[in-house]
Amino acid sequence: MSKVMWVEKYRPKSVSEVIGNEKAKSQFLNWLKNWRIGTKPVLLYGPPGVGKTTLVRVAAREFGYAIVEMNASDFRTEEKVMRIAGRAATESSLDRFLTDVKGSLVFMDEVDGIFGKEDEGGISAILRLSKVARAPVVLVANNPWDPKLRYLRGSCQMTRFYGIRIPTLVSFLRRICQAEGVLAEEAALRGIVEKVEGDVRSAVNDLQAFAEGRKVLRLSDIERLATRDRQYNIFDTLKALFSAKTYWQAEKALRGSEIDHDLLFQTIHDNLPLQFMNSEELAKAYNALSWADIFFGRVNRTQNWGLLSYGLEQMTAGVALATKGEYHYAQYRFPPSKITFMGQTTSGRKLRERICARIGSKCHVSRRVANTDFLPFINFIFENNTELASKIACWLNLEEDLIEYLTEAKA
Amino acid sequence: MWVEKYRPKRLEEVVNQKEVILHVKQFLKNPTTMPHLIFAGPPGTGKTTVALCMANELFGNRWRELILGLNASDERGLPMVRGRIKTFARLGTFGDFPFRLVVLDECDQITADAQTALRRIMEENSKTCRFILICNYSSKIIEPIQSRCAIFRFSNLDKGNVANYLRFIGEKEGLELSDDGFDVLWEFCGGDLRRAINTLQASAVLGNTVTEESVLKVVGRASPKDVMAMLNLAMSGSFVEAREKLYELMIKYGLSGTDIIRQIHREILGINLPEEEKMRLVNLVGEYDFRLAEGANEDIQLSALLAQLALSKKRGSREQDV
Repeated sequence: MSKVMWVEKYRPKSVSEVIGNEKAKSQFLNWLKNWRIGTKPVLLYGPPGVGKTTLVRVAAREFGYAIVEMNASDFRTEEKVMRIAGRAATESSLDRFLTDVKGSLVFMDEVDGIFGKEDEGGISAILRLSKVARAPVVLVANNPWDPKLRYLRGSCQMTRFYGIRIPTLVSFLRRICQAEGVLAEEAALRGIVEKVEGDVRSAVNDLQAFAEGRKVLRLSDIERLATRDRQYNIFDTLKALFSAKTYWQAEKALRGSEIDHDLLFQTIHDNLPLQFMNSEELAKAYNALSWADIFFGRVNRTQNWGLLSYGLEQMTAGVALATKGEYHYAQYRFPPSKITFMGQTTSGRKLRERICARIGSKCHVSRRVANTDFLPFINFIFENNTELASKIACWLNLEEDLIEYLTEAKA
Repeated sequence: MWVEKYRPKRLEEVVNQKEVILHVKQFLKNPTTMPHLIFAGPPGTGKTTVALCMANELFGNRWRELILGLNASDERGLPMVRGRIKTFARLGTFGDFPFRLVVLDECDQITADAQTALRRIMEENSKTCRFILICNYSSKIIEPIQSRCAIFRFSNLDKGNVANYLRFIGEKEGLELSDDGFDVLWEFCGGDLRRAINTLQASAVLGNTVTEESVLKVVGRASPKDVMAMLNLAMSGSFVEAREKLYELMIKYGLSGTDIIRQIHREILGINLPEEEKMRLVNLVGEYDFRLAEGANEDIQLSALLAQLALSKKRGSREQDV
């Protein structure tokens, strides 16, 4: 099975391949074409996964700019912004003479991700930078209405991106299916698309999760998507988490997730061996999870919620930093296989519990002891001697379904 | 089941535990002087049996009305204590019967809160109601309760005790138990008479002479060899499959995390590994056992342990390569 994310594999290589948002696209391309020193920076905004970052990348390449990129996980103190971006923007780059590129393009992704003290001054630095910039400055945000960004809004050209329309997305997914040799029902593709709210990245991720390794994709295959809201969110969260290279990135992955911590914990646990193939890394990651669990236990026992963050940090950063290697894509599972397994075995477990309760009251033991110290022997008797088995069944007052369970429980 | 059929009805028939029986008989001569009791000791040594015999001798055929038998590991919280126990303890007694009797089995499992509530009920109703608390370790009972009770420790049964009782059952059932058959049985069950009788009965299904072979068949069936399969999977690098096995043991077969970890402990010693590596593993298993005892999540901790064990095999085999 391939370890390539389709999102990467089918990321547009040129401006013309970027789907949807025609108006915003031409606005941005015009801005870039006509850019000269003193032109306002541009702020591209809109929901996640619609191609903002991709557009900037391919456009810069086509216009011959080298991208100097910063994103929210870097510390954006004023000093640092000036040091990295400032140099690229204000000094004419040596690169310009050495290579074909015209110059640099300063690109700041997720500017609304600027949080708290660490980033203090970042905004004003960006503002000052844009005034003196001798290179185009492109900012990208999901939510431009964040109060922290109010000064930026006035000094930028605002370009709005929308969610990709359903037919456009469906035909994009169909092209991928053709390239991957998957025969997909129209309804199945629509099913995926209708649930991602115009988010190409999620659509492609979902498609990969369902279609990879198959020859045919039917509507029934994607029925699991019923829990879509959580699901698509959880796949993104897992990816962000497992690909984190720093404590802060892992932290952010958790903060950006709407998944209930308990469920996320179970899901990380379930996907851990899929992500960490190397047994040393797996052991390390599991050690972190084990500690997270211990902290959660202490929180529960003492009701001291201040301890929670230690557990969460083990669960996220502790796990993510178990590997130094490159992130590789894994086909994540959701819901956790334990929950699925429990669902499949519910009826068997119920029967078993009822039998143990019967044994318990007849033999003066708990259900637990009945399970470990009686049931294996009774199983053996049922396998080898039907006469005695039926006597015991009578004595324990077992109903038909319980007897059936014991007779068939060869396992 | 023979466990019930051959459960002693009278104190004289109880195997060993002479000390305990002696004292208990004294109490029965003058029941009003009897304090609350704690029976502590390993499984299958007769704690529940002694309690039932006492009820039988105290109440005769009215025992069903006068005794409340509860299993604390099935319902171990406050609701049980406040509900059924409290109601029963307040009923008072009737006729010539000196008191009602509450027999609480597996008290190790009662939460501390519930124990505190229990203590109050024991005190308030001590004139008309007596308690027998049964547990493996008396240290799991809170001190205020311990100090209000007479504590009796049940000792482990020795090989002779178990052999005699099994032969006694054998005679009644027209069964022969061979010496080597008994040796295997003893190895598997130790002084746990309940387990021994169950093993005997299951073995007898295969024929009237219980031999080493028939006992081994039962033992093989009754000891979760899946644990070994799980360890092998983990150590050969098939972690996902090993974990599926773990879920199967826990969910389908209802084994507790502690059951499984104890079994892992036993199996590890048999694995072909350098001796010092075994010791490292024993430490590891002990640590995770402790985490479980602290109340940690079984499935996370056992998975983490499996991941650690997988590592060890690698190291071990690397050493052998050199």
